Amino acid sequence: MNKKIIKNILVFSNLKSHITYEDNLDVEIDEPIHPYLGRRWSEQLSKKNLNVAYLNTYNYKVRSKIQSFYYNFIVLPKKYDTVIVHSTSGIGRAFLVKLFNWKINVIYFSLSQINPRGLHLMKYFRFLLVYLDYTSSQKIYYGLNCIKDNTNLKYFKYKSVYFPFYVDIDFFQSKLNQINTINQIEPKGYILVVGDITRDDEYLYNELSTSKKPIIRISRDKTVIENVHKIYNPTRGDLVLTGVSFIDLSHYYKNSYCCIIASKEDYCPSQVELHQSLKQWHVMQFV
Amino acid sequence: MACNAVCIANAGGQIEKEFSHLARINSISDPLNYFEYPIKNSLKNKLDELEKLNITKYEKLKTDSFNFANKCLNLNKDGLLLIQNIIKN
Repeated sequence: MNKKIIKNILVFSNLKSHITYEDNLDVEIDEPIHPYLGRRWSEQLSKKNLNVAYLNTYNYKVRSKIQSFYYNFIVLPKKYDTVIVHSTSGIGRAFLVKLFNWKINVIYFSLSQINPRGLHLMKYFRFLLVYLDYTSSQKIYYGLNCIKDNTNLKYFKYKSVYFPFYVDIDFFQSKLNQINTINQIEPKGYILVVGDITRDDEYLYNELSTSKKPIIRISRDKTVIENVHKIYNPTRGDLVLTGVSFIDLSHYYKNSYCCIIASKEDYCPSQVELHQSLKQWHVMQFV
Repeated sequence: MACNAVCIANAGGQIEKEFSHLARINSISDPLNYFEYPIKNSLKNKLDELEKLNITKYEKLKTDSFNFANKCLNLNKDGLLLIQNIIKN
């Protein structure tokens, strides 16, 4: 009798990017609802004997940093065959997983350029960490941003694969067909600005200061919300919203006059979160 | 874009690089509108250009957005192809 081999996969994930906006302490086995992840993937992958779990790597809000490190990098990965790590959750993590679990397969997503800021020493240190991440990984998936700018990648062509930008069209269409759940009374013909700290709000609000169209600014980041409250124009009908679900967000997108991205950090683009999440899914099919 | 939204983004960065690449490999025009960040009045002028469009051209931009997303960014379509490839291997 043939025994099916079941592989267990752990995805290092920032669950704050998912729909619940909650920090979770332990591993999640439910598939997150995310328009950039796709839906029904867990079900499809389970048919291929791939069990997928998610770890919120930002759980140090619940545990201490030392406990979190011990749990995330030493204890937990031992229960899995493969760990998926992405660069945007912090460089050096793939290396740490491999260091403490040398038999484990590590899949790495390099989705942003190395941060160019800071002293030369700091830049070299970052370069070294990324190099170690690549060395520790069985496969590397990268976005276009890595082709020219990430010089480390040229040493690892034999195990790297390009994956482009994707979204789940079915997710958006199904949500848009549902009743609009937005509680806020929308201004008409508004400009929508979505995103966190990488957005240049000062530039954007300055540029649009004479526009008659109200701006709806949506962010999960408390600092961003506080800053925008200082510069927005409520008399024009501007709104500042937080904790907006993807379902509501899809309606905000659809009903907007236009959406604007003014990203001040090009090495870590706004859509990188989108990339990182969905590419975690893609890679599972290669594990 | 998957929600039929008209999008304006800063030029010369990752967004333009990746989207223009996707447009090229899929033989479709890139529906994103780009402005030169952080040049003063660049975003303002781009918005002014958009507002000067008549309703037909504006609606076409919305349709182009969705069509691009459907053709170039369709996660489920390509994901299923990848699974099929794995089965073959």
